[in-house]
Amino acid sequence: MNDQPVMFNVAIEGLQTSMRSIKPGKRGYDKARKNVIYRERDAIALFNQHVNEGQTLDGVYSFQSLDIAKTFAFLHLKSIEHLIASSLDRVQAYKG
Amino acid sequence: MGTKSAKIKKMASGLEVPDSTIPSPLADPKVSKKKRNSFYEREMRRLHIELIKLQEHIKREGSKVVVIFEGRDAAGKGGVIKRITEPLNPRVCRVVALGTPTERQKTQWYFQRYAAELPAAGEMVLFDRSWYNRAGVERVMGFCSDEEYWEFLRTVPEFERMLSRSGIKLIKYWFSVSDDVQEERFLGRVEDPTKRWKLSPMDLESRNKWQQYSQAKDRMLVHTDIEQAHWYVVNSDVKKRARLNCIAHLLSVVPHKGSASAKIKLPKRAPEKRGDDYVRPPLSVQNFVPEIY
Repeated sequence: MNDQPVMFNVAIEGLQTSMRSIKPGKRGYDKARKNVIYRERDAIALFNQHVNEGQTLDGVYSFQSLDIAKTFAFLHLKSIEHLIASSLDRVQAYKG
Repeated sequence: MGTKSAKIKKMASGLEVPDSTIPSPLADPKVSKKKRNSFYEREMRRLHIELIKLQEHIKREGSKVVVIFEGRDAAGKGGVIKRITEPLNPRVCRVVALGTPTERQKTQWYFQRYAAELPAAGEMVLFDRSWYNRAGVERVMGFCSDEEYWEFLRTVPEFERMLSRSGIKLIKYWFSVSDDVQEERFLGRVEDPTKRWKLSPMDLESRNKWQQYSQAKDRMLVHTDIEQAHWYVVNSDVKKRARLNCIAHLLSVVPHKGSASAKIKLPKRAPEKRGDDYVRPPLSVQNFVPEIY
């Protein structure tokens, strides 16, 4: 019986973000386990660190739970959405 | 107490506030309770006058203001709301505290029943708990599905940006209370028959889920803190400090100018022609409230 937990990967490439669960024994599991982020606050801190340093988030990130993975992916996508919303506001308000 | 000599700075709203680097008498254990109370009453009176200025500004400019009060049970949300509404006209400032949704409401768009309560021009609405129920109690107690929860986190920033674009000023407060203080307040509620109604079975159940609430709160704040509507956390372990701090902050973030209503000189009553057309009916025909005090 394998009681190792399922990992959740978030892959970010430009505007594309995807999620994938990796079961124990499957390809990429060991790598995911090695770099896994266990706590939500660490996921948030990682996201903030990238934003503050102006770095791209492109890459693959592994998380212990689906909720934490979703939060990370949401934060990334929401930041893009926010940029678009702000631009829309400016364009809409522009009077020439 | 040194309050007179305390440095004072002016906020953008024109509100004068004590320099936060100087300890507040409310935070100073060396200050007697009597002096602390008198300081609190004086400050509250000053803030109430500012709130009236804000009310006049809202009426005059036709502003629309929404203030959300969120936090754990017994965090002190109700107390602050009471102090805000106390001096204000209920036609301008009203409180919305929605109960559990009806079966019909459950089938509606989640924000629908809240949207119905949003302000018209010249109004300020205080939400004593709000749409954020979904990210807190509903999530922790399992009253919403995973899909509904994530849909909520996705939708809230869009919803609030829409409110902002429609001219609504939205301010969100999270009342932060520590584990020990909440327990103390719960015990107070249990013992005080005038406060017992505040304790619901749900509150008691949620005591056992402190950590889950903390996680849900952290996630909610990080997902929904947007430029158009930031979250502000109020440290509410000391109720009186929390009330003053929150009201002072509210006054600083809602731009308002002008003064409270100008002084009114009560004109002399014009002499009335006493006709024979009015005779006061005998008191015995009216039902008077017994004067037992």
